[in-house]
Amino acid sequence: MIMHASRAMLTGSYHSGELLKKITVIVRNPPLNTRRNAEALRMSVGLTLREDKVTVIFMDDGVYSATHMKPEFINFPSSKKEFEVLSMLNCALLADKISLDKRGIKNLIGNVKTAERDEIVRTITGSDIVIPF
Amino acid sequence: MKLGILLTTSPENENTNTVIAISSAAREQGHDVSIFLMYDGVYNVHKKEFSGLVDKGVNIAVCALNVEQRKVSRVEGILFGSQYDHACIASDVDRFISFG
Repeated sequence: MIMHASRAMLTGSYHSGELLKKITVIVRNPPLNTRRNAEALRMSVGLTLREDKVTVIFMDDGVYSATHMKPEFINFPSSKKEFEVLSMLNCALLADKISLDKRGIKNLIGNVKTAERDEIVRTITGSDIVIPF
Repeated sequence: MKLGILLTTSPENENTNTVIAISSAAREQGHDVSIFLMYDGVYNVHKKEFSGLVDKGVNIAVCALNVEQRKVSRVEGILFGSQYDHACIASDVDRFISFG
């Protein structure tokens, strides 16, 4: 359980007369044993509907979701569309470098950027809402 | 103050009791509470104590896609909505808590 104060008054950007929130979704589970990570990405797309700034961080085993997988080989739905939409909407997609190095992962999906732990911390602390999914 | 809650776990998880307790306490103190259920969290609509929050003035919305996937039947007083409802809650509240 994590509680986050709304700090839009301090940190939010201004758009069409309304303060927008910075929302960060953290994906941290293995990708193929449940639909959890796919749902996190679908939720992230949904959270853009009010034009808030959404960032997705892949950490721990969640970084596997940001690799070139073929989930259809095991009849598991692909999240390709969600990745495409999030990229199209200019949502930042960050993969934690420490988690990647620990797992020997080098190749990420094109629009996912490797981020040092400092950047991950800055993103989280600069957010109005953080949703570990 | 407006409080938003996301619940993604099913009723056997302790999260459900925590959400019920926090929501009830917040309502007693006069705060607005909105809950969004998605993923396995949609099963909570059939827990009596949880759906009873509606009578206390808590707004509850669920992701209709997850409801359909899990064949959960509708409950009066609970909005069977979409991810847009979640986006609205996240955007409008003063505090947001995630239980997953």
